[in-house]
Amino acid sequence: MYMYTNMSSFRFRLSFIGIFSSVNIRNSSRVSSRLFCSEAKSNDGSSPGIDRKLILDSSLQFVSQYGWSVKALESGAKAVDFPGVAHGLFPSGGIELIEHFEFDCNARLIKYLEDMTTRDNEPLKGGRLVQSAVEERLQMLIPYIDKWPEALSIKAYPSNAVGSLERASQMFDDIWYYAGDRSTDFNWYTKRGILAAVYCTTELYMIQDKSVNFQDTWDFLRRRFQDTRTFTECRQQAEGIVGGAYEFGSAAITTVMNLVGFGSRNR
Amino acid sequence: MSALSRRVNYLLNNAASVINRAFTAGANNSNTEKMTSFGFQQVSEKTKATKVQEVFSSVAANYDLMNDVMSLGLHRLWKDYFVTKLAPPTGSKIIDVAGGTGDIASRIVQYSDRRVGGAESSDEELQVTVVDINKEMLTEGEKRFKNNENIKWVHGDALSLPFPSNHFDAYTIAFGIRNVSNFEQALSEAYRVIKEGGRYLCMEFSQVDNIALKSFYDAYSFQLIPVFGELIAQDRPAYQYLVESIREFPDQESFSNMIEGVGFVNVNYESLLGGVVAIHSGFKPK
Repeated sequence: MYMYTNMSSFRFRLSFIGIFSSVNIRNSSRVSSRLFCSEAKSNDGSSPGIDRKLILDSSLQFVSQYGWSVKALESGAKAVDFPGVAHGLFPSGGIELIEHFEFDCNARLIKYLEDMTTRDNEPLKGGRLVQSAVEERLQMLIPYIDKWPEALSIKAYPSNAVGSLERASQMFDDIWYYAGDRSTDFNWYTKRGILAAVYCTTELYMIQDKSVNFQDTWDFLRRRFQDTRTFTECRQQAEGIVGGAYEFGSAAITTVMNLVGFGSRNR
Repeated sequence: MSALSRRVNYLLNNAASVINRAFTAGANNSNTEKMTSFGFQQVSEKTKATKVQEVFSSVAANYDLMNDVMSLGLHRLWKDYFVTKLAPPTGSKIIDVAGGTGDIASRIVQYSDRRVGGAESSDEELQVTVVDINKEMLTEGEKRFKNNENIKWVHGDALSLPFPSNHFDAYTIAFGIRNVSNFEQALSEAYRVIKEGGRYLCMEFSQVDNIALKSFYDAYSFQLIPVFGELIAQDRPAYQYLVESIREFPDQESFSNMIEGVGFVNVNYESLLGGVVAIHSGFKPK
């Protein structure tokens, strides 16, 4: 009488429960780091008594076999002498493994950016640093490239999308910071937008790339950066033409504002 | 409104315990016995054990039917979900305490079968050990799943489990902890038999905090459930006890604190149906 005819009815029942359920996670560093996006590393900080990071690190070696799944977490736990049921330490399953991997990659990227900007032998900066950082970051995906499409789809679930975006934008921030960007105007958005577009398209290109050492991907990446440079040059030229008009306009507005008292410092 | 009902409960409780104490003192001449709740009454731990024993012996035969009627079939979904949350890997050794009729054990085996049927072949078999203090309930389960080699049936007490320490990967108890006379002791026993890094998973009726849902739920449990008990199982007091004992059980947060109190870490809980049922989870540190 307990037999279910198929899995789908079972799943339906479970999703039905989901409507009425609420989860409370106590003492979880994961939740707080997601909400406040503070320290990337605190995410995997080991909780008292159990080294979650140890299990996550060990689980990564099973990703190529089992994907970003509970099964990988379970095998990872077993590999470091935990009972298989310890996968329950990661109630959200595969996404927690992906999060761990991405936080780790981003931390390694920061290390790389530091090294590149401070090395004695012609340190990288500006656009060249950005390009090499993107390449470096994408290379970190190579060991898991077969399962990366799966990770991308898991990251895109509505429940995971916000966290995924946060991690990505943090990475873009880091890259621009080390590239010397301190912009505080609208430029800030376009810079990050352009980088995001380049990174994401190259990532998608990469998961289908069958060339040796992903040579096609790096060529693709170079062409995208070339595009953005052309775009920027065009914009600058256009600005040069309209620049005079713009300056005249803004002087006129300032004058008007001063006349009506809006420019006054002690207003 | 809930404050008022809590107050009334409290007064009733006090009255009941005073009367009870007067009687038991007269009968046993012992004031030193530890008291615990049996429904809304206060009784000694020993009395609770025998009373719970009586309740379950009398309902064993109709247990499953009554569960279906009272929860409108939802208990099956809760139990399915509970086992999915545990997601027991093949080769795990699991102890299911107070699992007399084998509801959880059979689902665990089924879950594992389905996984094995999927992709991997397993060299180690999953083992579920069902422990129950009540022989009648245990017999029901054995009758039902007698051909299943993955399930072992053991008569034993949750307060002193007949197993060595660090023995099981996971400890499950579904709708059972409420009936144990000493929660802390049951938790420490669980802590003892679980391996390091193993999981404690407990499903139990809990406290509803939504006022609208709570008033409906209270009306349903106090007005209807005892009547169902009378009609179907011909045992009103047993079901009166059931609804009372649910109200006496500590709320989600307090029970989490108790679980942390015996040493479990990574403790969290999930409320189903607004808190009618809660699943508590904890891990033994390693």
